[in-house]
Amino acid sequence: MTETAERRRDRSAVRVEDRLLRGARAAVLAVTVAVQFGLCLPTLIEHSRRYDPLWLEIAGFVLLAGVAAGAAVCLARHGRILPPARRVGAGLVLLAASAAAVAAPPGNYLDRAHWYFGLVGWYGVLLLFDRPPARLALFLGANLVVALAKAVVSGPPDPLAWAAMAVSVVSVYGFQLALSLVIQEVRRVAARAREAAEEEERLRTAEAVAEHVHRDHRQRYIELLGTAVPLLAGLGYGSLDPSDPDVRRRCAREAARMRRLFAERDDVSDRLVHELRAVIEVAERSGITVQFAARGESRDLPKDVRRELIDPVAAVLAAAASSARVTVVRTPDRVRVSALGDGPAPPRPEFASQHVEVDAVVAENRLWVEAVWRQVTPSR
Amino acid sequence: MATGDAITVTLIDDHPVVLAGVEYWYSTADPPIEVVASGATMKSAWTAPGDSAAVVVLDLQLADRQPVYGDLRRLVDAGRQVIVYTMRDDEKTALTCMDIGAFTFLTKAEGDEHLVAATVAAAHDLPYTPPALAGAFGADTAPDRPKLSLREEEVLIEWFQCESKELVAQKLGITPRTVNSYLDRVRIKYANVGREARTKANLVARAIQDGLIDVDDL
Repeated sequence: MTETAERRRDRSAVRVEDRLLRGARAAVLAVTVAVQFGLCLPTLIEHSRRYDPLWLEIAGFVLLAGVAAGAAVCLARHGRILPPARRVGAGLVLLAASAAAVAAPPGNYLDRAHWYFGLVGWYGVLLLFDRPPARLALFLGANLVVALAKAVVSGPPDPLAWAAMAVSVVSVYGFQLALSLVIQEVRRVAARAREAAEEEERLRTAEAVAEHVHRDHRQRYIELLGTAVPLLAGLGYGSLDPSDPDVRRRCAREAARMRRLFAERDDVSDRLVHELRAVIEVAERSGITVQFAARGESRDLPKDVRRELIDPVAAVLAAAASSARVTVVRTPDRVRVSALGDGPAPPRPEFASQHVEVDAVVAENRLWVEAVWRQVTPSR
Repeated sequence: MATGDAITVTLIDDHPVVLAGVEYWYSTADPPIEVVASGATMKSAWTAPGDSAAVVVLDLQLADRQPVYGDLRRLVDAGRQVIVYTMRDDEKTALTCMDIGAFTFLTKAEGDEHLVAATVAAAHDLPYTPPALAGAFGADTAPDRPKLSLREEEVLIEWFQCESKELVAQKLGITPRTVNSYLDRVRIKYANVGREARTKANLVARAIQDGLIDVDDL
């Protein structure tokens, strides 16, 4: 599998998880903001004369709103709240809660003027979304300590009030803790969904690749059998004469095809070789025996360069009488494609090439053409 | 080396047709080459009369298994002159065989032209570089490859491309003899960086003795 496909697969699988969790985070943020502005703000206004000093209470409110805004930016940009922002946010929320508690009227959080008590829990759920519920419990515990300190300092409550406070804590913070457990379950489901999507995509890709390879193999073997078997049978039963030049050429051609078949296991991702083979195949169909060999690491070449490297090969194969040799050699600074064909004194061909150097030699009734592409070292 | 006049050879290949074909080539060779043992397994090379043959011709893939590099190494370590004769036509296999200490590497595609000549060269400790191996040397980018001159690299690649020393000579404006000496020098350089083996010792010694290569060039 190619690297790009791998990356694409990862991305699409992660997207499944992302979408699920992004939605859940946005929902918690919406609830938090709604509670603050829909419930807490009217209460704050209603009891504004009881706060001492009022500016400190307002400062606490604004600070919390600021944390919500920061969280919104963070979610929009990264899709989640990153650990440094999480730590700073939690600290600011505790600071805002302390400020609101100090300025709040004497008494405990059963008093509606203590609007911050429940709201802080929502901020905890929002900021600690990606942490285990135990962290949220710790955070809520810290808030409870602040609230209790305020209650005890401003006049110890009677037993009845203690009981009412306990019920309130269980109902408010208990709900938020339960929510955190649900979120954790959602996260687990999201992770499972991602794994399932990944697995499915991997299987699908593997299946497609295996099927393609299998089809390819079968096709090649079928082609080979269709031509090689009749030839071998003909030779075996004596209906074909090995001294007949035509039979010999057919034998040579089958041998060349088999050789290429054996070599085809290598270089499957190699475009240059792939295209060369197509040209060679055409020559083989017209009865030319082509020997092909490649050396060096395969590399990506632009289409124009490939075409200019292959053109001379096609010309040599077209002029060949019975056999040819085609080679590719790739070194770090050059790619060389060579074709050598026999034939009755072929004319030296001309090639219009911009990217490669083409060099032709005619000798011993053979035409040898070499096309060389040089790696251009980028100028300074 | 040779018993009597003939060069002795042990053939190892799991295809009877290949064994028969190679034996036929050898029977018509001049100087005469005698196949003293042949078979589908390594046993032929280790038991009499195959254990004393001057040259071992080894198919790299026996019974469709992985290349028998281990067996090749053991033969080389026992001081045998081994010609690897294989279906595989890639530089990695060729260079691995050279690293292990094989005398030369021949693909079955180029067998009919080169096997007899390579066998004669092997029996006389003279370097022999067929085109497939030359291509592998020419495209070798390993950091520990021997240092080759530009001309040497050029000759390797041209020889790989056209399989004709006359054509290489004509293209580069040198004589076929000079083409040979470039090819031989490259083979010696590879032998010199290879493992300690009979091939290395004998090829290098012989090359220096014949004045093919200077000690300073190594």
